[in-house]
Formats: sequence, C-alpha cells, structure tokens
Amino acid sequence: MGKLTVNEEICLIAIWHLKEDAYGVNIRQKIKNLTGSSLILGTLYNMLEQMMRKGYLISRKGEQTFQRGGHNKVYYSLTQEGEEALKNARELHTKLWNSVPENAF
Amino acid sequence: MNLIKYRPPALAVWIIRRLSVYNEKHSINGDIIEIFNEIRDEKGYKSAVLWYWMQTFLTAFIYLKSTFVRSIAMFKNYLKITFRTLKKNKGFSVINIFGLALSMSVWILLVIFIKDQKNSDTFHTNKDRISRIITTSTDFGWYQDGYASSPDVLAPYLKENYTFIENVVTLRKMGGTIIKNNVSMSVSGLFAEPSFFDIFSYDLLQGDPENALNAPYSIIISEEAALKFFGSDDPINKILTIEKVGDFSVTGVIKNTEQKSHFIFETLVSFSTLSSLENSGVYRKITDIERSKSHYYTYVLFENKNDMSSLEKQLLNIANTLFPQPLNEQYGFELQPLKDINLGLNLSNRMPGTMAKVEISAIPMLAALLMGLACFNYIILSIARSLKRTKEIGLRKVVGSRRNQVIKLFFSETFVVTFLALIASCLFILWLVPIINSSKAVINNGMQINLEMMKDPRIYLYFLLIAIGVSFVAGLYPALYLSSIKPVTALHGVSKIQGLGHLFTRKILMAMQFGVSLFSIIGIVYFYDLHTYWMNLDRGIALEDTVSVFLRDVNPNIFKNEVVSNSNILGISLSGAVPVYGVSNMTKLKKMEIDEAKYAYRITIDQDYMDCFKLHIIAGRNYSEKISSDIENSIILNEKAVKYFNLGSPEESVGKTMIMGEDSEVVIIGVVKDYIFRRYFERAIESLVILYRPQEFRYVNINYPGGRRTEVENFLTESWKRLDSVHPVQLNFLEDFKADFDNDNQAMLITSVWSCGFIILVALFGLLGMAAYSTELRIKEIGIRKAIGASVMNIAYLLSKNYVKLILYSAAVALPCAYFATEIMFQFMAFRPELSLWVLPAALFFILALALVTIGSQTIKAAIANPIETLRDE
Repeated sequence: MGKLTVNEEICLIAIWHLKEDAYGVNIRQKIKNLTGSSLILGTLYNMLEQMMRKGYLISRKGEQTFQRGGHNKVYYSLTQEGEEALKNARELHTKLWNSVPENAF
Repeated sequence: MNLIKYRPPALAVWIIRRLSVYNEKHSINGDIIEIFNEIRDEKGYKSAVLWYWMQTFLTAFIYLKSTFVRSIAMFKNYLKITFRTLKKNKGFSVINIFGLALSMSVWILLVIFIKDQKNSDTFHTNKDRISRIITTSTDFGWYQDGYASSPDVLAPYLKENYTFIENVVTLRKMGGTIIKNNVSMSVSGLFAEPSFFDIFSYDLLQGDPENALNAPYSIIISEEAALKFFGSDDPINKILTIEKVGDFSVTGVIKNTEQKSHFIFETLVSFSTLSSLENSGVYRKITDIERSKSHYYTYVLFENKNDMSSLEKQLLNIANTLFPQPLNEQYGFELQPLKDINLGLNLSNRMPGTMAKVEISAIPMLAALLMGLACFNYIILSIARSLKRTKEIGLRKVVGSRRNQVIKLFFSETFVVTFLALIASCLFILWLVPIINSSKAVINNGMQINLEMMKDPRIYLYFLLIAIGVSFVAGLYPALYLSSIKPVTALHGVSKIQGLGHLFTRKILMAMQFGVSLFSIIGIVYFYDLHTYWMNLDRGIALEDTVSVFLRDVNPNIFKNEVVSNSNILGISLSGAVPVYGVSNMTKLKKMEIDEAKYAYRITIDQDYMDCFKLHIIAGRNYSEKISSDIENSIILNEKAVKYFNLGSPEESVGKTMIMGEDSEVVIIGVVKDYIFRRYFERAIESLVILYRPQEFRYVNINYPGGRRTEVENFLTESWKRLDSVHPVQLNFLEDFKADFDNDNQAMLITSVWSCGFIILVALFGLLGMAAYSTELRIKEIGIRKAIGASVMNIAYLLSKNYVKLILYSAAVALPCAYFATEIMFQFMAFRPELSLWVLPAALFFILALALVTIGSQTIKAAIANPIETLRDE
C-alpha cells in the first residue's frame, strides 16, 4: 500500500472524525477546523475521487434537502484499507518525529 | 420575498453543472448550494455570490487541469500499449506501415508537386494585379480551353480605352542562334516591350530596366550567355548577331534566378525590333488578326485588383470590336489571373513552362486509389489481428474499461502506425525525388520537384493532417468493431468467434482490391499493346535510314553535287521542312465555285521526294522539274483532301482548278495515297496539299544504307564544313525523332507500370494479412485434420478455396469493365490496335498465381505446424 499524502491524511482524519456524517460540506468545514485552511471544492473532490479509486473510501447516496436545491448528499466513509492507511501514516509520523530531538528547529 | 436574491448566480450554476465528474459521483451541486445558503444567511447575498463565483472559477480551473493531466497520462499509457502490441506483431505492423507508407508517398509527392507549381510567379511584387488575356475559340472541343496567346492589337487597345489599366505588355516568343566570333549558342526567349519590367519583377545584373528594351535591336542576355560571348568583359553596348535576324546591342544581363515562373526565357529582345524585321522581310509580316492571335501574348497590370472583374465584363465587346465578322463569332477573350496560369486551363500555344491542370489530374486519382487500398488493408489486417487480442479486449472490459476507452486505444494504435508510415514515406520521397528530377522527361517539361519546401514547417502540418485523416479512415472500422467484442464471448475462446458478422464486409473489401489489381494489369497490358502498335505503325512513308540536313544558306544543288558521289548516298531529295516531323504549315484552299475556304496542311517537296520516301501517286502524275508550270500553278493532293473538298474520285479530281491562299489559281496534277504525314497520329489523316516550290527548299533528305549511320554522319559533317565553315552542321536523323516519340510514350508506360505495381503490391499485402487471419482462425481445424491424416496439399486446397472463389467473382466484374473501358478510350484514337481477348484470362491467371503463392506461404506454415501444439488448449 502506498503512502498517504499530507492532504489525503487530513481528509481521512476529517472523515474519521465525522463518522457517519461525512459529506462534502461537513468534510470541508472539518478540515477548516483542523487545519485552518479552506479548501476549494474542486480540490476536495479531486482528493475524494483519488482516494475512492485507491480504495480508502466508499460513498453512499444520502437524502435530498431543500437546502441543497434538491440535490442528494453523498456520504463518504473509511474502508478498512483507509483505516490501515491512517494507522501506517501515524506509525510513520511517530517514528520520524521521534527521531528528531525537540530543539532541532 | 424576492426569490431571485436567494438564488446563486445562474451562469455560475451552469458552469458548475458542466463539471461532470464532480456531479455524477460527488455532490458538488448540492454542496455548493448548501454553503451558498449558509454564507448568504451569515454575511449577506453579495458575499455569497462572490464566494460562489470564486469557487466556480477555481474549481473549473482545477477540473480542467486534472482532466488534462489525466488525458496525458492515459495517452502515454496507450502509447506504451500500442508499442508493445506493435512489437508483438512485428510482421503485421511492418506490412501495415509499408502499405500505408506507399500510398502516403504518392499523396505527399502530389502535395509537394502542386505546391511547387502553384508557387510559380509568386515572386512578382504586382502578382495580384496581373492578368493575361487568352483567346477562346469555338473550334476547340472539350479537351482544350483556348489559346494562351492573343492578337497584338489587344494590348494597345486596352491601354487606350480603359483607365483602370495601369500598364500592358505584349510579348512574342523568340528563338534563334547567337553568333559571335565563331562561337554560337542557341537561345530561346521573348520579344518584350519596355513595360515588361514595370509589370514583372525580374532583376537585371547589368543594365537599366527602364531603358533596356526601348530601342529596337536591343537584347538582354543571360549570365551564361554573357560569360560565353564576353568572358569577363562588360557586355553592355557590345554587338551580338542573331543568325538570319540581325545585329543586336546588348543592353542588359538578366540575373539568374531559381524562382519558378511560367515563362522560361534566356534572352529578351526589344519588341520594337519586330516592325523593322517585318519590313525588311526577315520575319513574315502578320497582317490578319487570325494569325496574330497565335503569336502574341498580352499581359495586363491593373491599378486595383478589383478592376479585373470590370474588364471581364467588357471582354465580349472588345472581342466584337477587334475581330471582324465573321471571326467574332468564333473567337473571344478571357481573363486569366497570373496565379491561375500554371496548373490551370489547358491552352494551346503555351509558354514552355506551363502545365495544365488536366495533365496532372491522373495523379490525385492514383493517390486516392492507393490510399483506399491501403486503408482497406489496414482494416482487414487489424481485424485479423483481433483474434489474438480478443482475450485482451475481453479482459479489459471485465476489469472496467469503458467502450470509449477501448476505442481510443485502437485509434491511438492506428495513429502510431500511420505516423510511422508517414516518416517512412518522407524518407522514401527524399530518396525518390532526386531520381525523378534527373529523368529527361521531367527536365524537358519543367516539372522538377523542388525539395526546398520540405524545409518549410507548414508542410509538415499538411502531412500531419494527412496522417490524422488516414488514421481516422483506416482506424474507424477496426476501432468500432474490436471494441464491440463482448467479454463473455471473448474469454470463451477463439473458435466461438469464427463466424464474426462483418464477414461480408471483409469479403467485399478483398474482392475490390483484387478487382482493382486486375483492372490495372489489364489496363497496363493494353497500354503496352498500344505503345508497341504505335512504335511499329506503318505510316505509309519510308522514314528509315534517312537524315534531313538543314541547308541554311547553302544552295541545294551545290550541296547535292557535293555529296552525290559518295557510295553511302542512296537517294537525295529536297523539302521545305523536315519530313513528317517538321510538318505544321497550313494553307487555305477552296473550289472555285464555292465561297468558303477550308484549311489543309501544306508541304513543299522536289520531284525526287516521292520516290525517295516511297509514296504512291494513285492518279495523275508527280512533279517534274522539266515542267515549269509545276512551280507556281500545280498542286498534288492526298486522298483525304480529295474527299474533303468534294472533288469526286482521285481520277476525276486531276485537272481541276482550285483557289489557294488569298487568290492563287492552282491546278491539281496528281493525287497521292494517304500516309501519316504529321508527327502525331491521334487524329485521323487530314488533308494535305503538296507543292513544288524550289525557293522554299530548306532541307536535303538523304537516304543511306541501313547500318551506315556513323559513316554517313561523318561524311556529311565533313562535306558541310567545306560548304559552310562557320555554322555547325544540323543533321536530323529521322530515326531520332521516332526514338524521342517512343521515349515519351515509354515514360508514360513506365509510370503506369510502376503505379500498377504499387496497386498489386498493396493488394497482395492485404491478401497476406487475410490469409494469416483465416489460417489462425482455423488452426485447430487444421490440427485435427492433420491428425486424421490430411496431407499438406489437402489443407492448402481447403484454405485457398474461398480466396480463389473471391478472386473469380471479382474477375467476373473487373474483366469486362477493363475491356470495355479501354475499348471506349481507344475509340477516340484514329490509329489503335485491336484489344486482344487473351489478355483477360492471362491477367486473371497472373493474379491467381500471385495470390496462391501468398496464401501458400501461410498455409504451408499452418500445415507444417504440429497438431499437438495447436490442439493443446482443447
């Protein structure tokens, strides 16, 4: 399994946080909360698409609402591969940063 | 509540909708509206709209970028796969590339050639405003469009009466030999008015273009001539003599140029010289407009190119004014812009460097034909290879490739093959063109192909377009066909696909290829028949072993005396022109009672001519030097003339009086049996008037024994030197003319044979592919049969059966077509051979033989294959 990019990590973690409630708007909001930067919708969808292709996410259709002009929501949830990927990412980060002393930079 | 203020901007919404992936799989439409509403509630409508637009632009940008990146990635992937596929099937790939390259070469050659020709006369600064006036005539049929020439009175008339004409120039062809201090050089050129340099952009190395053509007897020579006559001295104002014409003062040297033009000239002589040449009798005076129209060329420079159409409207009136009754009903004028001259109308009296469009029209047809055949091949071979690939295609589809993607894959394959073929053709052309350019026929006609333009990058754009076009045409069917293969059927195994629909298409394509090949072969053979027929045609006049010597100023009798004693001289006669090959003069003739005169050809001979050339007098008598009236008042006609002028039978016509030319009365003293008296014999024999005019004798015709040409040549050269020490002897061996004629025909024949070769080759390629295809198809069947005990021959028969049937079917159509098409073409010729029927089965046999060999190569391979291998999968 390949390594996650930083953006992908952020995205997956955001989705993990949201559990069952992870859809476009929420994910975007969550990422804003976690990192402080606001994603352009296009970037977000590109990432989601990529990760779906890699098998880290699956999507399911949600309900229509008036708020959305009659369009369905699309919910995303982590697959097992997705969780594996996160686990590996954490391991990697921990290992890496543990090797660097606190006052290095 | 104003609902509009609550909606996102419509245009932006529309843009978002176009971002397909984000819509289908992800919920951009919904998400963006939700956020829009949030922001609108928090920060107000304007902020929301601003945000919406921002997102729209940025997202659209990202979307396009990633799609682009993905396409490139896909494309690279396709390329990789394509190359892998091509390498795996090296044989087929090479065949395809070869076939396509062959046909593309013809296309490319055509493009280069036409571009080169179209490039002629583009170096003139005034080129958009220059036109030529040509003369049309009701005389011409469907083949020719008129005369490139026009009467000399036209140019001054136009200049005087039309203010929008800035300038005019009249030209006339000129040829002669320049002599100085025993150095001679024959030159071709034009008589040109001073306005020549105002209209056309030619540079003078020396001399002033303003004045060079003003004075009569001025001449502008080429750099080569300047070098030859004057070496490094300044040629300006020096005198050069043109034989039989006069002394000229050199007023300029024209700069050598590689620029292509429909004029080909080495010298320019001032037009004003003509009037004194005519007055002093050196040139025959042209008094009537009907003769004048054949000798002069009129070019017009307009103030404004829009004025061209204004003049066009007036041309009818102008023709009526200049041509008297009844000529104005026969002749008219037409405007021909400079750029249309080359590769344009088919005109008589052309400037030597011009080619007409019809003359090269055969080539596009050939190119299209070859292209069609090559595409057929590609289609057939692609489908043939598909057998090996059905598993691959099936797998792709199962794994998730959509049909579109498979189609794109196959198109990219076709494109790569075509592109490689394109490169191969370019190389082939680079090799071929110098060979073409050095052939005599091409040089004589100014048809050389200039490869300079290969350096122009724009031409590669054309080539690319050709490649794309071809790959589209050739690749469409295979792509659609192969991509439609259903995975289930595919993965099941080859044998299930045996009866693939579209069998009919393949059969038709193959049959057509064979049909075309048969047609070509038969055409070539008939053509060759025609060629040999013409080569051996008995003209009715004995032209072998004869040389016609140009007398120049030597007295004929002195010449005769000089040579008559030599044992190699079998016969001497005199004539006004080279026999047969020099005949072109005509004269008017009419019966006394009738008003209307008709034209007939006219030659001058002496009393020995008929005997020397073995012509037969069938009524009346030959000329005799003893009868003085023979010189002015007698004529001999040929049989055709007797019929043409309604003079009764040959015997009856003897003794009748006719009016020749303007008003000379002449008596018919004899009739000669028809013979082909002109160089060409496309048309039937025409009327001939034979005269006895010693003052017109220009040539001595000497018959010599066969095989003694060199001795005669040496002897005559020696004798000539004694009579004329200045000029080189001009010996016209009649067999050389015949050889030239045969050569011309031969060039055409060779081209046709090559083209035919190409066509057959392409068809055979196709057959090879098909044979391989069907062999693969039936490889299991063959295995089983072998196992049961079939011999190689049996198997070969089995596999070839269908193809042979196909060839026979296509022959049933092609053979009659070829026969009748040739028959129709030959109808138009006066002298033509009968079409032998045995050619038809012979061609069929030939193609069958080739086909069987091709198929054989595959069947042998299959028949030898070990049945164990082939049946292993079962």
